[in-house]
Amino acid sequence: MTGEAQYIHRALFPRQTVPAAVVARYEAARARFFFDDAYAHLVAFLAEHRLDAEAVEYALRLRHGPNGLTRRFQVMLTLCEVRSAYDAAFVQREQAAARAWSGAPWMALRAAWKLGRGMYLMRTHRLDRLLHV
Amino acid sequence: MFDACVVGSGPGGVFAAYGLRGRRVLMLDAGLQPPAQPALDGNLYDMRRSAADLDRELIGDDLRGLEHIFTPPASMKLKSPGTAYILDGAERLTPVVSDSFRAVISLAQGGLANAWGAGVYRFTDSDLRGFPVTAAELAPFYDEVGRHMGISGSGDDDLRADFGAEPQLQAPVRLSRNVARIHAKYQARRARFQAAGVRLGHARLAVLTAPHNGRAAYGYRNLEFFQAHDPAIYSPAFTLREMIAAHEITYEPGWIVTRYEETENGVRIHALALDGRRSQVFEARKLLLAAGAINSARIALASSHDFATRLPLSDNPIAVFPLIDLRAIGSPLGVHDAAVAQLNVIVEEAGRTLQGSIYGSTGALRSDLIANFPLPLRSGVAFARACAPALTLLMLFYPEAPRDTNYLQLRPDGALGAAYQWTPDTALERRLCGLWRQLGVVCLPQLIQHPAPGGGIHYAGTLPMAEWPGRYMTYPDGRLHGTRHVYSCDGAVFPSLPAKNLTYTLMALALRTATRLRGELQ
Repeated sequence: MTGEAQYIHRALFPRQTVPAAVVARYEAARARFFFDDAYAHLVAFLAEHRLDAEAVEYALRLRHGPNGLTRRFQVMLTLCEVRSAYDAAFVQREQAAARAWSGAPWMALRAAWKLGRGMYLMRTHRLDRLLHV
Repeated sequence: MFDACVVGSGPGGVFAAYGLRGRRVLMLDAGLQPPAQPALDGNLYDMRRSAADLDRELIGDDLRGLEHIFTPPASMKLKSPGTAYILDGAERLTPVVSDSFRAVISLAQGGLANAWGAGVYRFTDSDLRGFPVTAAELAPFYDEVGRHMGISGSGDDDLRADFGAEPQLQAPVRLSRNVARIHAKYQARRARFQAAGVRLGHARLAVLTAPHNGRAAYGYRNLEFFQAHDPAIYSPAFTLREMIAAHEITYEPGWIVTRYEETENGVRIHALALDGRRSQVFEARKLLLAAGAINSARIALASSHDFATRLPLSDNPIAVFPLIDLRAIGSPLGVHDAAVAQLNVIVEEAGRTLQGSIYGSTGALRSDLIANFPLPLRSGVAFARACAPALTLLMLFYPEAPRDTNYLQLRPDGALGAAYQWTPDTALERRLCGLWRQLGVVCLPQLIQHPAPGGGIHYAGTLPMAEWPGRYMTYPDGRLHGTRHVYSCDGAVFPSLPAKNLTYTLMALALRTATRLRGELQ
């Protein structure tokens, strides 16, 4: 379970170490909201094989809409956003217009790359079989 | 026996009780209170930087602030641990069953007005078409309610004729940078907008910008999404507490009124305790129903054991237009901007009037939005950070009139069945997108959101008033047809629903009904 929290966190914030308090809260949320849901096997498989969870989530979301994997990420995002260590990730405090505009093409390329990668992982690992939906 | 029993502590109930002060008044109410939790004191964004975490305050020990990820909330204001209590118990105790209508009902002290937008607009005679009451008749009651609450806004902009003159108007809420640009663009192109039937001005709000009646001015703290009862934003709970403290009413929380029966001299009111284990009968000479348009209708139908009649139901449908100012992308977020409405918009089109409010994008957590972007989530975080400072939201409300497709019906199990149909006017919305672009913002019709029916949370018209009412209708003085002692004092009495927020008018109507009754009860 701790591994799942670290794995989801790393997919979102690869340069930050997940605080123990976030792991504890994620575990509590998992026990309350995700217990034995249809995506549990998929997430366990992704974490075990260190696959790109962000790419798989994106491919699944574009195909089926928000899903059990999306909700795990949303829980992690919310748990992080309420902590000062993550303030810079969520709140624009300084002028950064040039960076925002110059980053737009990169963002589009990254989206295409992640979609392709997610679809590839879904197919090669036959991830659909892990979803009891 | 009490002189009068008021059911419910929302805006209608509180101003009914306020008008009856001096008589023996009982208020029966579910009366749920905000939970005990760590207080947020200061600006949200300052605290987010200075405090190690706001986990308990924004999410809660019981993870309440995560529930919306699994069950979409009725409003983003009703999902945090400090505000979710507003809807507690309603699904269990006052159920509404429907595939086409999402009823949002509050059993909290102060009702849904604990999380309202605080828009206060006088109805004009045009708005009151079909009502057996004129704007001039309502004026003194608007004056009294407005004086009591405190209202901010502009008295001399283009919306003066639409919203009516307030005798004591505080300065409007400060505009954020983006909204000020929109306002300036409108001023520069005013004639063109007016020719298109569009007017824009400062928001008219029950939000204090200067201290009033012992309440502090708005502090631009961005906490509206996380806690109820900011002293600057009027809640009927404030007035209720004043009346309780002054022993002007007898307040009985913990009760759900289920039905009434008339006697020779008054009314017997049957109530069920919130735990469902006890029931009690209260007696009063007059009964004033102010449980909200849906629950007042439930009480009226249950009192007649009527499972056949369909009562009309109206709600203001909404279109939400995201407006993006490209020049503000990547600029610092205005962390001390207002989270309440800053501007109002009137749109006149094909003989009907729509009304909107323009909001900034501060307050809400970005995590709530990130999965909606067509981007991988890490990119979504960066996108939200860069684009939030450029985003304003226009919530446009449509007027609504009774239609056969939209109704409530009591079921033998005590639940209300509901049905509702509404289709957005996409041609109008596309045309408006073109107009909004002239305000210097990007507005794409594809991004317009339409909350499902019920999402307006402006419920009305279930016991409509008329000069010559029929069954389940009310007389111009608020008395329910077929009764001698039962009055309706909430949105139920509206025969139609203009696009303007109905709350100020239902407060004025409730005060008018109670003031007349007060004389009778001498």
